[in-house]
Amino acid sequence: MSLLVNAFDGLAFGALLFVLAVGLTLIYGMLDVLNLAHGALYMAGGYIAYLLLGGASVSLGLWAGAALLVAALGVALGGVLSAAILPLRGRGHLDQALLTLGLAILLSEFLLGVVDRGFHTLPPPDGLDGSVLGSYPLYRVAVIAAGLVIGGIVYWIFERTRAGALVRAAVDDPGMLAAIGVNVARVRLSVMLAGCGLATFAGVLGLPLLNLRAGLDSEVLVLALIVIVIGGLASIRGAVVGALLVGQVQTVGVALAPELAAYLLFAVMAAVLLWNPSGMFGRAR
Amino acid sequence: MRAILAAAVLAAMPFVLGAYQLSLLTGGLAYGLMAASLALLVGHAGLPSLGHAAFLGVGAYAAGLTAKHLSESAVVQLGAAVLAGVVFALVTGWFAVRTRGFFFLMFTLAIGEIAVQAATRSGRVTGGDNGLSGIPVSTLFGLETAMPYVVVFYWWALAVVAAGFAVLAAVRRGPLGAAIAGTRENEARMAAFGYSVPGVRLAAVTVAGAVCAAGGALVAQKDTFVAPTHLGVGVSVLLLVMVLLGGRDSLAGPALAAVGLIALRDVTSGALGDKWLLVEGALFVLCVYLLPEGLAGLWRKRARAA
Amino acid sequence: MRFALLALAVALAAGCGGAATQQAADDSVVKVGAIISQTGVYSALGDDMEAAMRLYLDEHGGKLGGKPARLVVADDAGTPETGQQKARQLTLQDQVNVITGLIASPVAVAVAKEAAAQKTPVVIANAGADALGGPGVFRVSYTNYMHGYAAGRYAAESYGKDGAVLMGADYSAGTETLKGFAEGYAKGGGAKPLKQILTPFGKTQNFQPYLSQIPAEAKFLYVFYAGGEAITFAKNFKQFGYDTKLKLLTCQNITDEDVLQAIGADAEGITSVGLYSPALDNPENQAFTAKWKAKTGKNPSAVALQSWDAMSLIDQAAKRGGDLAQALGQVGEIASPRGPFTLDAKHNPVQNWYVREYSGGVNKVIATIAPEAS
Repeated sequence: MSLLVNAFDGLAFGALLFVLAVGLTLIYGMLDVLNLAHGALYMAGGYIAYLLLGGASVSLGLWAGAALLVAALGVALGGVLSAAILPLRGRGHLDQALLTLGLAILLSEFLLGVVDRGFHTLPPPDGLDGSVLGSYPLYRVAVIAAGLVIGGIVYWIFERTRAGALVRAAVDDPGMLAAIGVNVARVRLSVMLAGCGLATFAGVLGLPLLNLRAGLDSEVLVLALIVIVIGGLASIRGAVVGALLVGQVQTVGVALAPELAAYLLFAVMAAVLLWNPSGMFGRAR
Repeated sequence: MRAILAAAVLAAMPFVLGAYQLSLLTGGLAYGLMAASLALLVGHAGLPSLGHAAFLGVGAYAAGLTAKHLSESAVVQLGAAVLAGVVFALVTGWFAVRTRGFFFLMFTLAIGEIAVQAATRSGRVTGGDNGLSGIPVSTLFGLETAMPYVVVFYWWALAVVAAGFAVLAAVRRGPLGAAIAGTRENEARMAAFGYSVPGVRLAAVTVAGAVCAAGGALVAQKDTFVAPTHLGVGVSVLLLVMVLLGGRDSLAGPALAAVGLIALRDVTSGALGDKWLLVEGALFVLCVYLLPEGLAGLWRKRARAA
Repeated sequence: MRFALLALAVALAAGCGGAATQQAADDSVVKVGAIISQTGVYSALGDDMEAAMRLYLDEHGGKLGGKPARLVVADDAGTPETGQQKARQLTLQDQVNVITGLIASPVAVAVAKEAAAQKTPVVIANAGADALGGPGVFRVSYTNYMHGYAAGRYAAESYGKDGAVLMGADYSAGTETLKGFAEGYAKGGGAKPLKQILTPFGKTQNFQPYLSQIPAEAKFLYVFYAGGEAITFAKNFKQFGYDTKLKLLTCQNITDEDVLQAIGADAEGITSVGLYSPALDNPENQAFTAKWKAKTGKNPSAVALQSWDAMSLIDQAAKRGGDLAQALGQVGEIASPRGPFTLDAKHNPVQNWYVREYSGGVNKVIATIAPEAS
């Protein structure tokens, strides 16, 4: 019974990780950009929502409005990031890594300077702060629902629309796409903007679960990187499976083997890479 | 020739610098050697590692434990550290070299983090998260009785760093270096030539790991203290940043970046309080734009122009 | 060219502080070096620490022991290697008379070692590692063991003699506190705890999987968490309904001022054992909390109180004159907002511990645990 609760709880964290990581994996796959500022974007989402709502409990409508506003700001930050990365075309992942690491430090330290270095959080919106089935927090159910909705939308766009087909094509063969007259740069930009918007949105979604503090950016960045490495790059399915697996490892896994809890996540990632050096759904690149 | 000149100038530093600056420079040189060893992996072998600090830590713990339980001789401790670095490289590298690029980066991150946990949870041996204390001050051929310890230790560190650079430079120039570069450029062709690609890569990891472990020994001897944070991702990121700032195809560049970054942190964290990280972040951004080949690009450009 | 750059880097390294090296020790000023986490995961505590030290100086005319004082703050970034380097800088270059601050234990261990080598005394304002000590090391906070031990004694008296489960972060502060609890509980006649649950330190974002391991026969839970983990634990405990299933006793950090705002309503009713409460009724505390509130608008945290007392100890020692390291051990009773305390033979505080219940925005003192008669 308690393992079932663990597993369900793993879904909640998996859903949050999916929203965070899906942008990272698409940006890597599409733009060939290793965005180490992704964790800082998540953190920015949390801090901006905290600044907007002031740490008080608010109505669901106000909360959702703030979340959308934050996502829009994330899109704007994605534009800045795209512009910053533009001069680096053809210079490889490590230069992008250093640039985005520098930008991540600037962004997170700026946020800590504007708010403070203390701990902050936001309670769930009114109506979602209760519990279900006796003692399971309703907000976590809502996070799963949000993950399903966002996952569904992403899947639908990716698999069922022309825009999604262009994105997939741009991953597989950008040269061909350009040759048939598609503006590949615009496809790339839209993926970047959407990915950054999702990252900041995840920061709001995760606010009642992971409190705001110094170092939050690198903590979630490492989790997101693990998700996309396990799943394989540029694959929505990979991000889903990776996020769900990490969620279960962190709940069912540590409940079954508590004495190994500290090693478990990295050991699982290493094991997946030994089994398939490009992740579960990844292609060799 | 330049290397000899640089070594001579560095050897004269104890006559110029105070005790604190000298100890800062000692640390800078040790990190310089470790960054250069990582550059062999990142630049020459095309294997970006985010777990290089594990070698620092393995070397440091090996040296510290040797000092505590076996021998106070700095040379013996150095030998133990290098040996531990080689063993650790062979065991972890065996698996790591099966991955490429970003996946190598993440696999080595996992190795580093698992090493941190192992060091933290073996408290009986390592002192756990509070670190290995009670490391005695190393003996340095008896010279430490004749001169101030910081000075003798600085020269010892300089000698080890010079030897480490010589090893790295020799490997880069020799047949192994050519094979390593070959696996970076074209795996299939190297395999067709009869090379074992994983074998060549493992050799690169082992050389880099052994040299880095020597740097780790210097860190343990300098501070007579080692903690699990030495193995962690924070230090690995720092080493990787030093390589990128210095120029990944170079050995001197990363070393210079290491000394420069440590000096910069020292100045800015004293003067700016909690704002020093902003300076560092801005520096990374500017360097990516202005120094595409790192510091090493500066003298290469000069050489090309001449 | 390469050589020129190398020389430049060396010159840069040499430039840091430069002339200060040869500066002679100045007897007319008391120089205090504070090693504080200004950046990194412990920086939330660092801000309180620095503010409290500065407040002490401001309130005492910028003087310690009647002499003008200078506070030199250095950032340890949360790592022992940086902390030790800063200790070297403060002793060799800034020539401080005493080092204080020190949030994380590994940093404190490295710094205490370095300071001993440079013959500079250390006043620890937070770090709790049991093993920390030495002739020149003084502590105004607590040892982890004593923190848990006091709670264990109280639990044996008020929570029943059996059915204890212990839970905490898997690092030295966690395991040492839980060990102290188990021994204090046994001393008071309590049975061996049913289970000890340890969670990976600094990597646990969700306590549900660990809370679910509490055995059904448990009667109460004693926990150690600090900082961000304290917030997550307190919320998870309440949200998953454990507050209706078993009684909770916590270390002081779970309802400390630095985390209370973030925990919010879920902190209501939590009972903890700590060395301080802003609600303590004594004149020193009333004056201290009033000053702190005027400056920050909040109640003082334990770290703020400890940092204030660190300066107070240095102040009294400096007043005595002579060798500061010796004087620090001779101060005797210190009038602190936490109530008077003294230092024992190992220079650790002998002090009251308070059982506090958080309600209506403040940790109300519901019982006092006096030091064990030795």
